[in-house]
Amino acid sequence: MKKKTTLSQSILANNIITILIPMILFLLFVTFIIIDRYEGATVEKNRMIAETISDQFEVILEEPVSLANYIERELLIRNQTIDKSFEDSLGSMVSEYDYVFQLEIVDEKGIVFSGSDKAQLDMNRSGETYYKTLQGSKDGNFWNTPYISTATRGLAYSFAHKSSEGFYVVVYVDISALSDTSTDFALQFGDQIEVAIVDEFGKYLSHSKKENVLYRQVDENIPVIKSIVKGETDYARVTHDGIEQLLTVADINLAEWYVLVYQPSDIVFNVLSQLVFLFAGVFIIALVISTVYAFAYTKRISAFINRMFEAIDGSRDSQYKIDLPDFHYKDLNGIGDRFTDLMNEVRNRDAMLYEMAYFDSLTGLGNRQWLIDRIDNRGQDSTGTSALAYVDIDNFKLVNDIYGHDVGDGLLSAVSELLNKTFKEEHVEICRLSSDVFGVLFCGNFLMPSFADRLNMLSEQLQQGTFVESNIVKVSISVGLAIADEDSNSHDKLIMNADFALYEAKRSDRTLLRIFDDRMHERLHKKINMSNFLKVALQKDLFELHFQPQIDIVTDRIYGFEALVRMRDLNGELVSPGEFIPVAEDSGMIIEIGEWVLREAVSFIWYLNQMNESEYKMSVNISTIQLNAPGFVDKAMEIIGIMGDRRDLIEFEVTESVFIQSEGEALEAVKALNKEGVKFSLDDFGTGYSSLSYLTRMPFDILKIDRSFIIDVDTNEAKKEMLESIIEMGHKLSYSIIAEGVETMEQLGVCKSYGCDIIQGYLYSRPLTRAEIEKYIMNYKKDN
Amino acid sequence: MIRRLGYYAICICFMIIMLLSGCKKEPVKIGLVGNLGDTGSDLSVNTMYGAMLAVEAVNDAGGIKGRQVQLVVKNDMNDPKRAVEVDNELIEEGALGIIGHSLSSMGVEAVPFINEKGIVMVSPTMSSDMYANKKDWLFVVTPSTVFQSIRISEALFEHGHDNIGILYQEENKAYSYQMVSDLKGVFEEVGNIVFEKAFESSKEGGYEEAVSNIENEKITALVIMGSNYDIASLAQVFDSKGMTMDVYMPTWGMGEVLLDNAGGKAEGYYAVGAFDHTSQVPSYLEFKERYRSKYGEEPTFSSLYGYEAAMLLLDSIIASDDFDRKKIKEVLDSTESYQGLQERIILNENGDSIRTMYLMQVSGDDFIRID
Repeated sequence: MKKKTTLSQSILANNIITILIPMILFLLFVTFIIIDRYEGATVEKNRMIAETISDQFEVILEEPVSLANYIERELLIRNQTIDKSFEDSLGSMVSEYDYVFQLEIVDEKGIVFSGSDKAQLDMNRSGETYYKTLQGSKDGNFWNTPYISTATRGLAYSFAHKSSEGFYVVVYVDISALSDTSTDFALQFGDQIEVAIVDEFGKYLSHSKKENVLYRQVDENIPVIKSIVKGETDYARVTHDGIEQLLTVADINLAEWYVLVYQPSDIVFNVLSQLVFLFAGVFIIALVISTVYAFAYTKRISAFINRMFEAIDGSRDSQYKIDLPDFHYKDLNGIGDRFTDLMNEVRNRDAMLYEMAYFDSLTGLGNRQWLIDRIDNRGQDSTGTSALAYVDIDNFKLVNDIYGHDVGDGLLSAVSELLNKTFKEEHVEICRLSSDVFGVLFCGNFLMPSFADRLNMLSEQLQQGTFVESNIVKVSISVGLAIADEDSNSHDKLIMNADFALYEAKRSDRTLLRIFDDRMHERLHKKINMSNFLKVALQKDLFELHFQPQIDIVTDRIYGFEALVRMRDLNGELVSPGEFIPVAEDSGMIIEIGEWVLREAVSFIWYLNQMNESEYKMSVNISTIQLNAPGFVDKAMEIIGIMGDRRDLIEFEVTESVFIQSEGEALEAVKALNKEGVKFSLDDFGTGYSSLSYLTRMPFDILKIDRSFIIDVDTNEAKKEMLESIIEMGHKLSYSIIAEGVETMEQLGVCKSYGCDIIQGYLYSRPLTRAEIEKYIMNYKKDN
Repeated sequence: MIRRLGYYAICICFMIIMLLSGCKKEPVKIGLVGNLGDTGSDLSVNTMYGAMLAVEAVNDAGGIKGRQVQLVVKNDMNDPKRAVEVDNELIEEGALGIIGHSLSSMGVEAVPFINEKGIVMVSPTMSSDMYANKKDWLFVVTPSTVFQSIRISEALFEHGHDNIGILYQEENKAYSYQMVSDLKGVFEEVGNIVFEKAFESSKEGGYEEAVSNIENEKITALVIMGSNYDIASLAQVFDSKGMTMDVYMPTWGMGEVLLDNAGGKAEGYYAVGAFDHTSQVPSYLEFKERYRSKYGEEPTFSSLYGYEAAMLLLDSIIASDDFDRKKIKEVLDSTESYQGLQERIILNENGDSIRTMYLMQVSGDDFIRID
């Protein structure tokens, strides 16, 4: 991933680059211009030197030519007769010419017949190159390659001229003397150039380093030299003596020799470097000034950006401090203004969201999240949170159902005001945690007696009635109290304890206040253990179904059976339904257990009816939670599908809690199943509100009178009357009436006398297993 | 950002360095020493030209480990003291090896010196047997005098000569004396050596004096141990005095100068050498062509030996995989043979070359093999 840099770093870097790149380009441009111009001038100067030396050499080389021609003429005049005066004149010619050290006249056979060196007379030159070269021609000139002369002990060359008469005039020239001449001449132009003369193979004939001539060294650049002479290029950059040099060449036409002028190319750079350093100095100063300015500028931008960062960081903690510096740049100011507007908008939105997230819109009180924050911020000790009370309005749903939601909302507002009034103290804070549950948070010292007194006052006040929208609504409350535990370090425990205390208060009827203690804690653990065991029980088939017969006392036949679920522990002992059913309901396991019960019960009644060709009914208890569960209707229809068109033989027993604890979903489920033929009975009738309005709103077929009405109905006149009234009312509403818990003949007698339709109870049979039911049916048929 | 700026700084420095200085590796230096710039310097000059071609070939092929080879040339001025001085100069300038010297007389002081300093010397033409059969830092490309003496003796015997004379150059006595000694040792088994006389090539009239000294000797063949210039000059004097005899010479006398300067008077002279001017071996023909086009001359035996000496030294530097003088010697010590331009040459355990010796005769402008 590409590494990121900051804006100010980037501005600084780019500033340096924008200075450096033009600087480098400018320097390169200037360098190339100067190199080009200076190099051109240098080459032009060197060419002039080379050509001057070349011209000078042309003159020098003319000497042996003119000398040879002179001797030839003399000999022709003398008709090739050699006398002493001629030989003497040859000797004086040698001393007269600076570069000539020997003269020879060779006959057409190659024999030396005259010369300045008498020792050479009669020597045979027929092996010499000039002789071999000119032998076949009528006349001509030849320049021999340089060699070391025994006479001069130095490098020499010979010029041979063949006369038309067949003899040869040979002039020996001392190259060392020539070399000295050219070297001296070159010194006039300073020591920065090196002048050399080479033959066609690059062998030095003249050089400032005499040993190069003496050693017959070869110039390594001879191919380049020839290309310059040919005009392929004006000059060349070559390596000579291990360094790069500019090479200029002029040729000496007379002998196919070349004058070379070398000049190190770095001489150009020496001149250039001063200029480059000057420019570089100027640019560096410019770079420093520019960088300092850019640094100051980027510091201001950084400050601007940092302020924005600070504002953004502050906004996370709801600290909206926006203090951006004013720039003289419109765009940055524009960004600043818009950022300020944006932060203000965020602040307003934040406040609104905070309201929504932390406060209840109806009462204006804090909500659960507010409570959690409060506890967390304050801590839980003597100076922080000390206690939390959950205040729940009992059966608040009934208020909504009876008076409507406006009244319900009005009641909630009234309760919140009352709570505020009751606990109007600095260290107490009120919040609304759910629909009908309020929280009272105590900080600092918590005084239980004072709290209890105020709570009683509040309860009495509510029970006496609250005036809400022209209605006097009387409600009771339940309160769970948890005292802060100094060991706990989070809100979780306190809230859970208060919640559990409230749960306990609700469970125990008519109890205003329950304070969380360790026993509750144990119960809580038990509940958790039971919840875990229920899962195990389902997996290990520890549930079993018992069936209690229901007898139609009009026909004295078996009406049907009520399916009653039982569970065994791992030791095989039965566990009381009172222990596990509430836990199953609380944990949601009731949905799975209920499905199992329904499947078992339906398949059993279908089996019994098939076996006995009967029309027994099967009554199954359905909890509110099951009815509220999504997909329950479909699941139930799938299970009772086995009954075919006799779904009317299945009866679902529901309690009044269906109407109190649930919204419309449960009622819709009841209606849907009833429409499909399933019968519904209202269980435990008479123990709760027994509101007649439920009966009119719901499609019940059967009322099951709770066993509490039956227990002493034979001796309690009031109950007799109530039983009579219920049965009479039920019949008037076309319900069948089932009396539960009938254990004695007296109770049966009373029920019969009031026209009760069906009896269920130990008088006829306790709940039986499948096998026992089959036996019971057989025996019952036999007895009747 | 610092890394980025650093990157730019490096780029700029690199550009400036490239602009102002350029970048070049130090060359690998080898030395060449010989008698340059004097009469008889053709031997060394031709050696130098041959060696220069070898260096050029290696440089054209990319040099040694990317480094160009530089041939540093020094003149020993045919002076043994000076020979040591120039060898020392080459050592101080960092030469990894020396090609030279040309004349055996230079080795008298130079060979002990290079043995002491530990630098390899590959001599192209130092053939005196006094340096042979010794395990030292000297390696010689040309066969030693004893091989040349044997071949001359064989030729003299084959041609029926039993009374011969020897004329030898005084200046190169380390060679001449050894050669005379070797020849005597071999030829006296089959014939008679009538005289053995020295001549001074550097002395004015030295050739005439030498010829006068032997003018009246009764011999049928003369062996001259001198340079090609010496023999060319002597041939002219013999001719002028009407002296006729078979003349034999060792390799030293062979060369273009003899053919040019003798004025045809050396026609029929015999020479022995390991260099066949008429060889048609492709590698030699290629060398010959390059030599001609570069220097405008025919290569001589010393050109060939110069090339082979340089190649032997350069191949050893390459094979040593290091620029260490000791390792170069180790490579040469372990070399049993090397490829010459005309044949594969055996290099014995003492660093002496064993080559095929030919008998040649001057014929017109050339030396023609007659065996």
